[in-house]
This record gives sequence, structure tokens and C-alpha cells, in this order.
Amino acid sequence: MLQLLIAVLSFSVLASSDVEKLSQSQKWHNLLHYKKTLFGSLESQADGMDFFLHPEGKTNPRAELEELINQISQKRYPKDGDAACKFPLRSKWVNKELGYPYKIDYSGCKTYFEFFQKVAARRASIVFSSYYLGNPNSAFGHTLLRLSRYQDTSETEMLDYGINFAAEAREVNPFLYAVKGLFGGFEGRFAAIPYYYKIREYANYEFRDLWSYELDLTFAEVLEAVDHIWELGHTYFDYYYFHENCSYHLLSVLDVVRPGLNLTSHYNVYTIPADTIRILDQHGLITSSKRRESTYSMLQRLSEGLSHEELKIAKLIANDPAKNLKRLKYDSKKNASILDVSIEAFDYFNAEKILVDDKETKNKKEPLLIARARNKEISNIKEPPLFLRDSPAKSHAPTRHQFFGGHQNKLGGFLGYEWRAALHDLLDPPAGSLKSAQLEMFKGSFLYQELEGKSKVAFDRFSFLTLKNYPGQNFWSTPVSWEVEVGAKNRFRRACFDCPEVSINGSMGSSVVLDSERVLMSFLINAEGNAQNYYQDGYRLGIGPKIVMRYLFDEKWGVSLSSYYHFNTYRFSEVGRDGLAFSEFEGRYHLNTSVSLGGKFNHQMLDKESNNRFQLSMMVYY
Amino acid sequence: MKKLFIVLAVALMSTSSFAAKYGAAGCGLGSMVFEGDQTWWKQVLAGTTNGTGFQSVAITIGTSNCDAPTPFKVTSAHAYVEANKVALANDIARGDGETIVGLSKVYGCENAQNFGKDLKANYSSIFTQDATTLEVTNNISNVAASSCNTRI
Repeated sequence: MLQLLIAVLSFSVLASSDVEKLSQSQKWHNLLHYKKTLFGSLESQADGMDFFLHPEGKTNPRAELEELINQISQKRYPKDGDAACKFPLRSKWVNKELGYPYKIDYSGCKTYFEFFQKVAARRASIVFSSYYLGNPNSAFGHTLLRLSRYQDTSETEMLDYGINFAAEAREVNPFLYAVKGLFGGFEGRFAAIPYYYKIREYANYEFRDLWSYELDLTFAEVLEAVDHIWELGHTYFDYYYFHENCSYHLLSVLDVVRPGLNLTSHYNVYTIPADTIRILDQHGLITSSKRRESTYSMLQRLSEGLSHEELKIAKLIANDPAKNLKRLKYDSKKNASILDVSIEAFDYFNAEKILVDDKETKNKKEPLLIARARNKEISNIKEPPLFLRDSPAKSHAPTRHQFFGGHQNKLGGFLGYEWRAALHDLLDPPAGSLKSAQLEMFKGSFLYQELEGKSKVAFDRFSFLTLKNYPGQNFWSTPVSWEVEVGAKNRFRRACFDCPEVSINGSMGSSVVLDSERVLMSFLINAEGNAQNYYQDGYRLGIGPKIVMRYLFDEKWGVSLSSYYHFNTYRFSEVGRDGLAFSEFEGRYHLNTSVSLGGKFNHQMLDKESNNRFQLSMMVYY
Repeated sequence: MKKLFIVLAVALMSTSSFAAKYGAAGCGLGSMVFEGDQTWWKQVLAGTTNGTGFQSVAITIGTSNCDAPTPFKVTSAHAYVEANKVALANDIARGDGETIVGLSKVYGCENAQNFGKDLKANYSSIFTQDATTLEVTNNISNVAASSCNTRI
């Protein structure tokens, strides 16, 4: 009772101006994830109410701070579930700011300590898991935090912890899944998972390279991050695929540790994972980079040391070890190299079965591993080479302005503007970005043109989503190339100046990629559906062959050619007689990482009537 | 027009259902493996839900600047072997690799290279026919006991 009285007294002694000041400090706002709303008031982005001690804590920083002081002042020996144990960072911080009026003994916080010891963090890195176009969830890549227990950066990562923010999606209906994912319908939570699970998931199962970026944090800051992650375990955040996603919330943790950085303030509408790496790099927060190669990348690299003949044997062994092991007829060193490739190839071919621990697959592989174990040679597989020009930290900014001017036959000159939210096309600066893929969201343009003496502004084209993936054929894999584009365009501007048509376009085919991805040639079958009133019955369908070619001379410039022919268009009664041909040639030169100049010429032939359009443009990436 | 919507719908459906298979962004294996655990902090500590009580090996690290009492557990060997068994079998057959480096830390083994060689030499007695993870772990522990200059 006496203790309580003293506590209450000491609380009232605290100058309320101090409390007011603290409640307005950036650190407090970041600790509680308060952000300004559209109406100017503060609201926490945390949505699980367990994150707050005061019922109005989500919107009232002052009330929340007072309640925290009130609760920690009353318990010198907090236990699990008490404010100080639930929020160690907050309570330590406020105690420090007030000049340590409370002597708090945290040793009763059992589960907190269990967590703290288990993670045992000394260093922190941001890990970027490469673009994965096979899964729309991860098309833009993914980031997580890796906490390392060893001071030495060359020590193994195998015992590190991965701190992951992800949505808990338990929606089976695909429509609701997409809608909920985009508009905050899922609860995003932080989880600490042994990093080796993350390696298995990304590198061994999804074949994505993992880039690790060591963060320039002090040991004290790393410990603060761990404390804050613990605090975040008490809550969830509504997950927004484009904005409040994995990458955004990792930045918010860094903002807590270093309030001056304001990293989250770079992202008000959407947060692109690779771009957050670029921003960290620009702030000088990255001290070193490292690439962990996927099973697929490692298979490719190990294969470089073998002749075609040897590779064929490695493949045969991977396909059926028991039957083909007898084909090994080289010296033990060469045999070991072949077996090493066979092991990777087996894991690559059987990734899904290995993931679910399929017993038959395991038994099938056993002779291969036994043969390798019997071979006395110790593999000395070196770390993969690090090509910094491929590092996502070096990529161009995702958002792009384009100012252009040009000429269209029979319509005359025009000026135009295009804006793209994200991310990359085949001719954008190649450093750090996908080289054989295009990934764009929200790209739209309009034109200004003089027509019959009148100035007109017209819609040009809009793409909600453009995904193009051209993985190259190689010895181990025959991947399918594909394209998807959903949007609208103004196709017949001569017939109808401002008549946008809805367009959905898709292709499938096969690609050749050569010379470190400088050369790309893709051969596809393309299909397109359009909706516009001027078509018979209001729509048109076209199908036919398509080729895409791209050559990068160097990091500075490249050219591309894209061409397709649709056998039929809208007059379905005359299939084969009213084809549509379209070709576009484009070149681009990058003055630096944020400004490029380009030129483009396209030709469209429909109903034996040809349209030519030529334009020059300047692009600014930001 | 109607047809177009159907095309659009089918296209959307096929990509999204593909997505649903994997769970949300980045939320894959970890949460799959540990699904069903009730307490949130266990979820946060996903690794602990798996195979506690076996072969826990302690290592000591310095306490400078660190509130954490020592010694503490890195992880249980059983949990480590369970999660890494495919890569570990590859590395043991090859006699080298990062899962062996990690394993040597778990056992407090000073020389990962020697440990790797010894594991390789004992491959067939470690990965016996139809061995459970626990048996594999025990077999590895036996190799560690003789190979590593360590207390178990």
C-alpha cells in the first residue's frame, strides 16, 4: 500500500510539461507507430489493440504515455503481461527520459527474456528476396530482417533469425483474397523464424537469390530493434499489399531505432521492396552486401566447370541415380564434381517433393548421396561471386515521368506526358534490376494535339499491370516465357480521336537469353481482347505470332524491337483477311541513374491502312 | 463484352489461386510449419515449438554490453537437423558446406572442417535406412562426441 502511495506521489511529481513534451517527441510517435491522418490528427498504424495500454491509445499519444508511466511506476518487479514486460523498449525509454525515477527489475519478464536470448542478436541485415514472377504475391520481391548472433560478418548465417512481416492469409476465395490483400483485409504480423527456414523457402524451394545488406547499426541499436520487435509481437497491422507491406514495416522498425531517419516518410502510397534497399543505401545505412544463391543459381554456376558431355551424365544421374551412377568413368575428382552437380540438379528437379518430405523421393536420391560420400574428394564449393552491378541496391528509382513529343501521320505533331508508378521495363537502366523481364504497375499517358485548328487533350494509353517474363532456355530448364497486360489504349486515333478501348493481352512462348542477359530474343503466341463500341458487337479478339528482341550495348544504352501480327481482328466474318500488324522499335540512352533519353517508332497496319508514330522522349526516374 | 469479363475473371482467378497456395507475401514455410501453435510469443519464437528437449547444447558467448545471461542455447540439434536435413545430407555427402558450419556451432565444435570430414566418413551410419530425425540427430551427436573437442 505504502509502495503504491509513493508511486502515485512520484507520478504526480513529474512535471506535466515534461510528459507533454515527451508525448510529442518523434521517438514516442515512432515507438507507437503514430502517423498523421488525412485530417492532421495522429493515429497509430497498429491495429491490434493489445499494443496500447490506454483505451484511446491508438489516437491519443499523451493518454497512452501517461498510462504507461502510471503502470510502470506501480510495479518495480513486473511479470509477464505487465506493461514493462510487454513494452520493454517503451518503458526503458520513458524511464531514461524522465531521469530514471523508477527502478524496474526486468528479470521477472520470463517470456521476453526467452525471446531475447533465443535471438541473441548482435548485428542486423536487411535481406532482399529476389523478384519472383511465378507468384503475384512476391513479384516485386520481398524483404526481411536478419538478426545475426555473431559479431564477425564472415560467420555462418545458419543460426540467425529472420524477422518477417507478413499477412496471415486464410482466404480461399481468390477474389476475396486479392481484394483483401490490396485493401487491408488481412492482418499482418511480425514473426521471428530461424533463418534456415527462410533459406529453404526462398533459395531452395522458390529458387530466389537472397541479397543480404548489413546495416550500419550500433550494438545498442540492434538490441533496441529486438526489444521493439518483441513489442510488435503484441499487435498486428492491417496489411496493404502496396503500402503497409513487409518492407514498409521493416523501415518502421528502423525509424524507431533512429527516429531522425524518417525512412517511412519516403513511402506514402506504395512501398516497393527493392526500392527500400535503394533508400537504405542512399542513407549510407548499408555497410556490406552479400548474395546467397538459390539452388538454381548454384546449379548453373557449378555446371560452368563441366563439359557438355559431363553435364549430360550429371543430368542422367539426377534423373535416375540408381540406374545411371555406373556412367561415372572419370578420375575421382571429376566424378565428385559431376556428382555435386547431380545433387543440385536432383534438388532442383524435385523441389516440391523435397519440401513436403516425400519418402519416395528421398529413397530415390539416397544412392546418389551414398556414392558422393564414398568418393573421398571434399567439395570445396566457394561462395558465389558478388557482382555489385546486379545488386538491387543499385537499381534505378521505380517511379518515372516521361515527357515526349512526336509526330503521327495524317494527325500531325503532338506533345505528351506519361507517369508510371513502378517498376521496370526492358530498356530502363539495367543495373540492379531484372534484365529479362518487365514489371510495371499503373502507367498512363495523355497527348496534346492540334486538330483542325483546335487544341485537344486526349487519352493515350493506360496500363494497370504489365508483367512480361522472358527466362532463357538452358541446359537444365526450359522455362515458358509469358506476358500479361491489362489496361486501355487509343488504337484508332484517326478514326476516333479520343476513344480508349479496354484491352487485355497475353502471350506465351519461349526465349533465348545470351551474353549475361544482354541479348534477349523471345518467340511468342499473342492474344488480345478489346472492348469498344466501334467494334462489331462491341469487342474484338486478335491472335497471332509475336517476337520481342532486346540488345543492351552496355549499362548506358539499349535497343528493342517488338512485333506482332493478329490474323483476325473485329470482322469475324472475314477471318484471315483483316489482319493487324504492329511493330515498334525503341532505343534508350541513360545520361545517369535518374535521367534517360529515348526514341521510338511504331507502325500499325490495319485494314490496309497504315499508321506511323514517331516520338522522342525524356524520362526521369525518382 | 461479357466474354471479355469472363476472360479477365479466369485470368485473375488463376493467378490468385496460385497465390493462395503459398500464403501471403513471404508468409510461407515458417508459418506452415508452426501453424496451430496458440500463444503468440511461441509463434514469434517459431523455432522453439519444434523438438525441444533433445540434445540441447550450450555455448558461451561474452556478455560485454549485453543484458543476456550466459550460457544460453543456440538451438537444439534436433530442431536444426529437422529443418536442414536435405541440405545437411548433401553437405555431409560432400564433406563440406554451410549447414556443417552451422551444425558445428550447435555442437560447439571448434573445427568445422574436421567435423565435416568425419561426418562424411560416417555418412552411411548417420543416414541409415528409414532413420527418423531423432535417430539421425543421435548418430550425428555420436560423431560429434568423438570428432569435436567439446562437452555434450
